[in-house]
Amino acid sequence: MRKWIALGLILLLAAGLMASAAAQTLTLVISPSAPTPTPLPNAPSPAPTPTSKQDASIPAPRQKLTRDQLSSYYRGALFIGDSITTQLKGYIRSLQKEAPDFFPDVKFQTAQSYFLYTASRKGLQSGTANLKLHGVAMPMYRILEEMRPPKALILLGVNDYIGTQVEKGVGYCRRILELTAQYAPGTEIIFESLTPVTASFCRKKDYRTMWDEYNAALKAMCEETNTHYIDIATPLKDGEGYLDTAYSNDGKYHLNAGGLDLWIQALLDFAQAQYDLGLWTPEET
Amino acid sequence: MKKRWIALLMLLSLLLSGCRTGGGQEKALLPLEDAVGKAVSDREDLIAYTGEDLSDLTGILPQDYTEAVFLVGSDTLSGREVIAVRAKDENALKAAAEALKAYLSGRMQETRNYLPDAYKLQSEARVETKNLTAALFIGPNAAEETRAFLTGE
Repeated sequence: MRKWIALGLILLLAAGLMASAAAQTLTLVISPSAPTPTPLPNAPSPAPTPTSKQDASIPAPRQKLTRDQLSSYYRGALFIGDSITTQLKGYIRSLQKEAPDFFPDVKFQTAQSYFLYTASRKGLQSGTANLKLHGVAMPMYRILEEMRPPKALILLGVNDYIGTQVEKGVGYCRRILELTAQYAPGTEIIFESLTPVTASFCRKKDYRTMWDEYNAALKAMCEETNTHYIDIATPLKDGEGYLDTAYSNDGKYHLNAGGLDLWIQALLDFAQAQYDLGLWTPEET
Repeated sequence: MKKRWIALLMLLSLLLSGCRTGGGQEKALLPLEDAVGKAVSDREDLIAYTGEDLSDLTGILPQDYTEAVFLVGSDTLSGREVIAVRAKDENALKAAAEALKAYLSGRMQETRNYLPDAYKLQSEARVETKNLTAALFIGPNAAEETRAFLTGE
């Protein structure tokens, strides 16, 4: 009997020591191997709001898809932008901590103070921010050529004050479409509207109307070229058309979590509209 | 009989504890996330970027490290960042340190004349190395955090 008790003690001791050793090697933030996905939240999405160029022809919704299903529309997509899209990146990455398959495999190419003008050029711009791939600065078209994402969503123009030069801005977007068709023909470009600016940002000059004019011109160009356009500005506006300060974190044009939620919802609504039109089917229904 | 069992127990304990610490020759490193977490006071406010983000932004590739941590301030505008890399070997460490210096320089170009507070933090930040670990802490207490972190490396 005593022999068995002693043997039990030995086994317990051995198991305890081994578990303690194993615990030291399991917690990594980044390891070369991929993390194990965890179950996703499956809440149904609210009814879609009009966002795309096909808004007028949207038939009655077929079925409300879940947020997970809708976000799969963007699987592997590349979001390109400036500090505003960098905020979206941080927010989506934090959501993915709980739900790794929300916006599955999306990638981001952003640089603080990145210009729409820079994105439309074939050469690197000196003295200003450029995008980087594998640590190397590259023009945007080269990044698309290297990465070949199925979709590239672009939100740029705030740093250019592009609302003050609408025609030029739309010209830059046309150039981006041309470069993409030439160097990454499999990539579908989706332009996102400029996000609005607050009333206090417009104290000296009313950028609000300029931003609206640019968005209208961009939308018209997208309709003409059969390019998708997602309006993320409207949900963020207050009654007077400025960025609602409830959604701003700097009182100018950057967004807080509430604003980023509305942006994400606009993206999901767009996916729902594509589904309603029969243009896309989610991976799992 | 009893003495024999006690002796056996002691022998087994010694053997197992030897396995756990690599024969008692090397100091066991904390997992990198824990080590960074101990060095910073705002871990809850930092977002974890992925290995792909690290590779895209710095050029440091997964095959060159055993562990890496890339944390960014949740508003992404303050300039707050923590990058720590345990390189695979000496060459990878040198390359990682150079990549982090180039990354810091690029970040400063992005924020200069645009986000002055972030630029100030970045201009005070330094890439430091110890053993096979490279670290870039950007933040108001970056120097102290770097020191605290590298002490355990």
